Amino acid sequence: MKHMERIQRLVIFTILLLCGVLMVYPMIWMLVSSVKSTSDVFSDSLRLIPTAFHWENFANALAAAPFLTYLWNSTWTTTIIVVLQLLFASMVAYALTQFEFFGRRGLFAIILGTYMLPSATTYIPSYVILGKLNLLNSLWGLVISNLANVFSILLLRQAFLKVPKEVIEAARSDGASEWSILWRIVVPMNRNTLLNAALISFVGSFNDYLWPSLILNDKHNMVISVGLNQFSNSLGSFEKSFPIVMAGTALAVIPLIVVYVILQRYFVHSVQTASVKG
Amino acid sequence: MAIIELKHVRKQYDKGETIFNDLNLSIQEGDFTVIVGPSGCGKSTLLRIMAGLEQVSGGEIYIADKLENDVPAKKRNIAMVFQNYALYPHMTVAKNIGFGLKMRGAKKAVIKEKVQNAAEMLDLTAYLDKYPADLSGGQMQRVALGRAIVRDSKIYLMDEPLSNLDAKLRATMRVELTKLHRQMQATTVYVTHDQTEAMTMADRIIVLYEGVIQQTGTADEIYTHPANTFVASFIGIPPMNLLQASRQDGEFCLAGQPLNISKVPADQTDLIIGLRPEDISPTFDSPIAMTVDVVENMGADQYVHGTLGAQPIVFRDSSHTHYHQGQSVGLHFNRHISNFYDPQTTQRLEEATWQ
Repeated sequence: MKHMERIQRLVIFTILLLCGVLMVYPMIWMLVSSVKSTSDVFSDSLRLIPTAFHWENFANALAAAPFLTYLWNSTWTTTIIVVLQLLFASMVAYALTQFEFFGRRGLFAIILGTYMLPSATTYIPSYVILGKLNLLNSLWGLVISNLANVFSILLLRQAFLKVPKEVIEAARSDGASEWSILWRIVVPMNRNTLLNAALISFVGSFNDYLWPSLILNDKHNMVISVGLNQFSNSLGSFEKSFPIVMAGTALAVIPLIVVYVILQRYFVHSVQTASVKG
Repeated sequence: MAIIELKHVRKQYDKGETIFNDLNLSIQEGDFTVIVGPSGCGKSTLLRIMAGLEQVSGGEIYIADKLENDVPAKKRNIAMVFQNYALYPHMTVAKNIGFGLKMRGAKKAVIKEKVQNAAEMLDLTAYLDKYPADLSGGQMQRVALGRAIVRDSKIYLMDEPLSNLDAKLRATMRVELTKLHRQMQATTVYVTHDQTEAMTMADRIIVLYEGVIQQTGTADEIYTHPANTFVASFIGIPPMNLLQASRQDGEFCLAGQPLNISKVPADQTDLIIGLRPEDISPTFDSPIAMTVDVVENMGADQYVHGTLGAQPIVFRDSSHTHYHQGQSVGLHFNRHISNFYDPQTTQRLEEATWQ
């Protein structure tokens, strides 16, 4: 029996290990390629240890395009977007779960409906609206057009539904306003879900390419996803500059890795602590 | 003085379900009032109406002589204790207890002092920095109580606060709560389905059934003179015996024996005799005899269950006599307390007495 168990474990671990390698390999390959020479990349592309380290690829990349500006643009817009998205999503989710009002179900159905809608269908109307607001080619335009995140609303609504009614009522009879209940009781009780939502939304916003590429034109206004594409196109011959593109890409993922490292311990266990006895 | 008054209160849910139709009650200042009734009788709803957590469909709610129908829960100076404690899981015990004060804008030093006092009163001083998840059920319940008492509220509402505790702890907490009430002198409205809690703790009991108040009175009044057959069978363990008797030749008889009951309205052809198990005792020379079925040994005394004719009957016996199944036991009725009920209306016949 014990022997069988061991074999079973071995099989599972092997499969998991293979999956893990499959997932991480492109990332490692990108990092390695960013310090390879052009000839190395194409002659011996599977090789994980380069024959020589070409750190100057990074310097070249930074010289060829304003990557630091792109990164900064991406980081601050994404941070503001995430904070505002969570602020609004918490408020919407609280209203949807704690208030009784006419049309609550209808409102939720509409919100759910917009989630089903492919985002591309909203690009033209959003573009027209941003144009009218005079916010095209502006990072604030990017922020404002991303204030609502339906996925975060849905995620938080599900979490808020699990907050025991009595806890809310106890807070109410303790004299707390709805605003206080949301920020002092409901949000802290769902901290992990909020951090999850933050991480997902951060990655989504940071990696979003299509929409920013439509509204941002000036180099100094570009976010990293758009800038990177612009850079790789501007180099002309793709093969020659490949390691430099990889160096740029490596720079692009740094903020994501930082955020992930900070938030990952919450990412793993998003479990609500028990508060009431059933 | 009545501190809480409900006048003609009606509560109907959107789906048309009516909880109360025309409910009137008043809670006296300083009293420990227990609202008792079986589950689904509307007692928790009633408490939530007083707390402002539930809107009424009609009628008036007065708290300290002020109409408070539209005053939200947070503006009513009422402290509530919930059945499942409803502690804030992300706050320490101290923060849990102090939250209500903080929300009402108390100064930090004041909060600290009051939390400390409450903790001492409830024996929680050692747990102030712990989180609810680290506490036992009894400790969590004490924190919930602490959260209420720290508020210095005039009115405390408690919704089955002991029902999640085990029997032993429940008995201890009953005494603690009574002591606490004596110490604080605050009006307390306590909801429970447990008639022992009602009997042991209440200054006044309100018996609620199907959204209608069946009887209001002290534990003694309700126990000795239940207003109707529902109260008679709900209060008391084992419940009051309710024996059907019918008129034969102008005289009410049980098991063929005349009972000598007087002042029964003339049009009453049947009535129900209410007898507490302790008001029935075994005797050798009675023509009324029951057949013993089951004996429950309670230690100090025993409950002897059986049938009288076709009717179930039980008496309490502290003589340690040994009874066996099928045995015939003559019964003597204590005629000091008269409880007779109309089988149609189930109400007590106030005039009727034993002769």
